[in-house]
Amino acid sequence: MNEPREIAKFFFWLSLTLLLIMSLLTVTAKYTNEKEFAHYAAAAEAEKNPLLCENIKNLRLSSQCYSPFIQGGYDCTTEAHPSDACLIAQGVATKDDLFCDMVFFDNKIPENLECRVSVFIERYSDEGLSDCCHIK
Amino acid sequence: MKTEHYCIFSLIFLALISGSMYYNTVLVDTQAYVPSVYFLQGSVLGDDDTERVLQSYAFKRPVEIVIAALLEPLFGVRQAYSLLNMVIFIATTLLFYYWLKKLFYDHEQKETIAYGGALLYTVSLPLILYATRVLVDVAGYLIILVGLFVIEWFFEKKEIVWYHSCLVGLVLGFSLLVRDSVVIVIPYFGLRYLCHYNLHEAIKQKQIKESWKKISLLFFFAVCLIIPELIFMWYYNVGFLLTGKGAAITAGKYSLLGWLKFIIVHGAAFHVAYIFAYFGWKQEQNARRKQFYFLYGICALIYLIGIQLVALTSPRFTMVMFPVLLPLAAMGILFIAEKWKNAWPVHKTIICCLIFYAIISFLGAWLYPSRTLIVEDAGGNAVINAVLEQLKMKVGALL
Repeated sequence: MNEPREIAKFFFWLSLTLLLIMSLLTVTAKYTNEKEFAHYAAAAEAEKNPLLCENIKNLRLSSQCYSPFIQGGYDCTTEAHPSDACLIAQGVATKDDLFCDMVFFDNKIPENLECRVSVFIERYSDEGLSDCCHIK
Repeated sequence: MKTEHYCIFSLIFLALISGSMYYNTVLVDTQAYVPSVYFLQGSVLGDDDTERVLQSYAFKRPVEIVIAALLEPLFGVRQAYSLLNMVIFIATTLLFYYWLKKLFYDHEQKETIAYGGALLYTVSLPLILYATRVLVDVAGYLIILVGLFVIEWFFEKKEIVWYHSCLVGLVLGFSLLVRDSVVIVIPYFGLRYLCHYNLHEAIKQKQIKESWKKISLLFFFAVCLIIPELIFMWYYNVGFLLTGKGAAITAGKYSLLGWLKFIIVHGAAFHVAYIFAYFGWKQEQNARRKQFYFLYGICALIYLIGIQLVALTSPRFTMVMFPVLLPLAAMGILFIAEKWKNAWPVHKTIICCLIFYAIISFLGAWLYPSRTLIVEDAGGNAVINAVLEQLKMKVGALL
């Protein structure tokens, strides 16, 4: 009758190991993303070139990089292939959920929802981009 | 460490792993949950957003929204929901573990079944997909368990009096404001009550006069059940749970393809657990537990068919079957392990079965078709196409 102990012990060590690996990967990714953001956001600001924000892989950080340019009057819809990050930043800056519907359609459902939810958050808390864009 | 500590910590760790896969992601319903928080905080919303809140189905179940509104200043609105859901997910897992210990108190393998059932719950596909999103689904499973515990407490009383009935009614009535899945537990309580006092026999033999006291207790229950919902509807001037759902009952849902979707979605949610549960059902000899499986199962099935008609069929609704399916699946796994014990140690077979179930759940979550909008009236073919498209995309990206 030692089965429950053996089973629980096995899953305890397995889940603990997986959790530690996941935590390590998350912290590493966060550090890399922040470093990448700091580098390209500074370069974009120095060169006054919003397109440098496209080098940031993390969608939230890339949107945050675009944000000051959008507030300065930059319109990403004028680009031939506007980036998702820029469009989300523009939707949030204009606080217009219909803009999200105009630029994200077909198979861009997750981007559309992220954009709309970020717009609602921005309307009432000015924190639309602070926790957005967790697309799996 | 004691065995129970290993069980509890491993369940918590597994819940954290499952909950992290879709943590803080959004779905269509999130668009109602987010402005609802600001509305309850007293912010002045624009006309469109006020309508979005008051007309939404989400606002008719406001309890978790109220808690999220209290947490929002600390964590932000998305984290408030997601963190709260993660805590509820862990709490529900542990509560289910103790519920199974209670259900199997007279079984010699109660520890193995309780742990196995709770572990199956933690790595279930619907929970990986929906538990920690910016939604309130996981709270529905918590209130089902709370309801089952309260009902057990009620029937354990030596002498049942009116205030016991009122308390059960109030708890279930308040739960209606958390999530509508508690509507399964309400008829289950009624049926248990009928069976407990053999009231159906008394009614058959026209002995209503002798049974009036017992029947009147059900009246106290019903009155207390509707009080919280009535107060809420009156205060916020919003309609009943099903208000506005009439238009959702459309023809596509009755078609053969509509029912194929019903089978695919609900079948995929628990996948191999149905096979394990079949073996478990064949092994189950206990009349008390069989009565529970039967009564709860019927109520849950009626709820699922109702949901198919008034809302989008989704694996998150299938999850309401867990109090019946997962203990049976755990029993089935134990049966398979004992059958093979001459070839392989029992605990290794159990571990393999549990890992097999977990791998299929995580694979299913990975293949979740998030980029395709499956409309309410879509048939089973739309679900198959969406999954195949996702499979092509994900496998293509890997290669």
